[in-house]
Amino acid sequence: MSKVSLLKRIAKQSFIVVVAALFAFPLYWVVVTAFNTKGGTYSIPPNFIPSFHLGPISYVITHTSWLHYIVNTVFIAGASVVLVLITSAMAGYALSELTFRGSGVLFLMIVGVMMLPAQALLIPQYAVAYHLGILNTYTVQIVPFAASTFGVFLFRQFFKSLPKEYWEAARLEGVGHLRYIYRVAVPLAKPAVLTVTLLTFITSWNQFQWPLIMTTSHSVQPIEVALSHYMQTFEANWRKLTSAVVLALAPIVVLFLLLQKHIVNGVAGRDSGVNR
Amino acid sequence: MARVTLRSISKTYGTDKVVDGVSLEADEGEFVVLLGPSGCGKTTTLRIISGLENASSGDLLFDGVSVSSTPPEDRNVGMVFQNYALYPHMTVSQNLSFGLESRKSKKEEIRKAVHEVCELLELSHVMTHKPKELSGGQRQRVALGRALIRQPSVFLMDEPLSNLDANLRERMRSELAQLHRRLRITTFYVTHDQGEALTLSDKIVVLNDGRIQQIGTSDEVYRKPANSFVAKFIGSPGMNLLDLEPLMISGMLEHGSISGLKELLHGQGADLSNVLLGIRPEHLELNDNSSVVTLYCEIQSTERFGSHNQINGLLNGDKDSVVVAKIPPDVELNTTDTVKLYAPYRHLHFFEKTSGNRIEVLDK
Amino acid sequence: MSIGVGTRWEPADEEALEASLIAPTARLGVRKRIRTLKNKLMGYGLMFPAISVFVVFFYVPAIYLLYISFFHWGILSSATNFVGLKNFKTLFSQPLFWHSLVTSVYYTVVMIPATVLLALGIAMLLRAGMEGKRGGFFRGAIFLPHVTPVVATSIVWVWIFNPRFGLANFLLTSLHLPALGWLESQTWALPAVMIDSLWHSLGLYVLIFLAGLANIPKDLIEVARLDGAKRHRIFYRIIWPLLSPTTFFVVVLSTVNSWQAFSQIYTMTGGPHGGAGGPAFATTTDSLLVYQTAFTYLHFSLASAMSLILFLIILTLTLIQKWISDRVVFYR
Repeated sequence: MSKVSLLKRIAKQSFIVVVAALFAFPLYWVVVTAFNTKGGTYSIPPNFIPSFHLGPISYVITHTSWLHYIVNTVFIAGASVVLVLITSAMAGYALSELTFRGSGVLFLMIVGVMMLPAQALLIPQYAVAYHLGILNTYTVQIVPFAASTFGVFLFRQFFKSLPKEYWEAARLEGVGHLRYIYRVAVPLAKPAVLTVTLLTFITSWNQFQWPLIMTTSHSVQPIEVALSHYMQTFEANWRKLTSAVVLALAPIVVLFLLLQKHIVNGVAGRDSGVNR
Repeated sequence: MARVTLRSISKTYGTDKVVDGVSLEADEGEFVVLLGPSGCGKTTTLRIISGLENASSGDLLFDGVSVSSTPPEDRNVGMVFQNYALYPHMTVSQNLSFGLESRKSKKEEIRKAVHEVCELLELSHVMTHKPKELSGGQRQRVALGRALIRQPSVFLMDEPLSNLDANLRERMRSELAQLHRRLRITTFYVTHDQGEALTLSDKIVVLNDGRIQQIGTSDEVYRKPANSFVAKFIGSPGMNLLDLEPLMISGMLEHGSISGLKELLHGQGADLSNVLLGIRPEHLELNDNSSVVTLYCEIQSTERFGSHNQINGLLNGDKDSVVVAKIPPDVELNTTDTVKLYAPYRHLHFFEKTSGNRIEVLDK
Repeated sequence: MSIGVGTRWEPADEEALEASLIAPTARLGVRKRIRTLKNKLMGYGLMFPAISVFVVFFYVPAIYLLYISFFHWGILSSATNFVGLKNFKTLFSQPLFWHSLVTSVYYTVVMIPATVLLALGIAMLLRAGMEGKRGGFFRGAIFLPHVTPVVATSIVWVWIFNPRFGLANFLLTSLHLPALGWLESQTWALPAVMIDSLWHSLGLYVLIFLAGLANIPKDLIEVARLDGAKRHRIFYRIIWPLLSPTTFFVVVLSTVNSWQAFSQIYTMTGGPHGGAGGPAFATTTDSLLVYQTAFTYLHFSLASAMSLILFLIILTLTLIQKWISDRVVFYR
């Protein structure tokens, strides 16, 4: 390799490192701030090296019901995942294997949902929730998200790729559709299940505007909404505030670090960025 | 074991008539082979018998009762797919028991059935393995087992040996034959390989273009092909078919032969300008005999097969009359040699050129 | 000429044959219809849960929206009076409404090119260093912000943009540039939000571009290189056109997302922190205004009217973009 191209390569690699660092930096900064000494936080120039001052974070842990909010969030996200898996697998199967009149219309209906701008619908959705009597509950945070267009498409795609002989053999043996979905189709669709699970969980965890509008009582609110309350509670007490943020971010970051490969693949497909 | 009857079964896809008026009957316990080139409609016919596809017209009967409107799961047929279609995430015993579980049989009965089938097919030692851990032959046996475990009255196989390599295929063929002798289930077997057809069948149904060309035993389709298609399809290589008129005019035949042929055919009222002469490569001899037709053949190429040699040649250099002959391995012949080939009368076949139908010639 | 040896099924009786051919096919009709009915029930049954969620929580609200905008509506009471276009007239007479539209436009118009350029740039950069695990690590780092909750990370950015102790001003002053008021300044509040948004969303768009770039056959580029084409020429004539479907997708997606951005704006400038909607309403976009009108000022009818307008705007934008794409985008 010539010297010039070696230099180029080094330059490129360093650029990438810089970019990646830039993206990761704010997260690092939160941690630093949260665990810093009071002096360190409010100094100019700011202190970049993390200390391990546990004062603020222990205060947050003991004096707020952050755990309660996390539990809420986990519960809501978990329930959403389960429901989405069921509804998406069933609908995806129906659209891929079965031919029945009206399947085209239903398919278009699902595509149509994707076209509706979410923001614009919030007010009428609030009205619907009100009339259904589910405002300020766990239900209102779960049920509207119980179906996912992405999930339906993913499962449909997956089921379409299964050889049709699987179903034919099962059919000859007298196995019905439901049994087939449960024993053959879904077990073979593990990648789809994983992707839908992860993405639904993350989306649900990150919901903010919806619970903000639909709930008012602390007992059912998720951590995101709690955080925005903390902004008031901890007004200008940045170390405490950032500690709360750390507590809220930690689960997601950990999840991401562990399952990064699957999450990224799920979003962008298997070939993203592979330099062939 | 059911007696299966197809009456004028046809299947059309759009404007394409894939199966055209197929009628045949399989007795109880009979092994019927559906044989033909790709696209001849044999797989479609099989799928119609299974119920996975519906005929556009015609009727299908099991034991004299129409099953055309019976859904496949109620027809009690077992089917082995070309690609086996084994569930990759289930073990062998789970693959076998899957269908039975749906029928709500008792656990003990299911276990017994699975064990029996595994013993029958020598799969007992791999019962807990998953398909990807099995060899090709084992997978095939699992596919067989799955079809057999419900004790079907009709057994269907769609080119089950085509995914195996040559040696394995031979072995599995004889195993299938043994299995059939033991179980005696009415079987329909689709293949494009004549070797399988000839050795496994009680009866062969030769299909082409959706239509039955001939139904008969292996012996019958070999020795008395009903038309030129069957004649050319059966045999490897197939029968040589030569246009008679140019043959007689051009001097490819010895003079004596011509009159002999004329005599034979006149008796049948056949139009000499519309006749194909058929002779199998293995029946062409190098030695003169009485009652033979003699052909002058210019050798184009020779191939050695170990057990025999094969020569490909042209009659009198005419590009349109290709002849293939099988000769004993120790005879040395070279390209561009001209050789006399002798075709005994008793091995001659005649077909109408236009329709392909056989011309029956008495007393050769 | 005889037909030859071989058995064929011969009908003993022409009539019997006819009868046997007709009857089962007719029966086939009825049984087949039952089967298709069963199939239909199964199909609808399987789809019912998903479809019912979509209908109840998306389609019904959509229709409801159309309906409510023309009523005076107190949401808690069912008492509604038809007021026709009054809501819209009131809306149009409010300068804040127009201001919010302008703000939304400003925000979106800056975000789209910024997103496209930055995401594409980073994607192209990443392609170079994309080997195996290391590449995966960088991709992960860039994508991580996207999966984090917006409120949590926006708080971090508020801290970064803190005028006295924040990193942003520290950076500026160390480069001998004037410190800015950021979220407290009329001019710089929205840009601050934009930076946060970019940081949060670029990961996704980078991934999308990476996928799009991967779909360009390497041979095309190599052939061009061998022909002596320079880098930027390769880019303009080969990569850019072939990438256009992806670029288009990114543009549409970022437009829709930018216009509907809420959480970060609310956290950084609205809601409980600071003044609602930013200093002098600098960050009051359409979405934010809809929220405030409905849930802070409880003016549901106005909010509905605004939502309807928002709906139409986004729909129109999408359609326009589609129209443009049909002319400009190169689909292979």
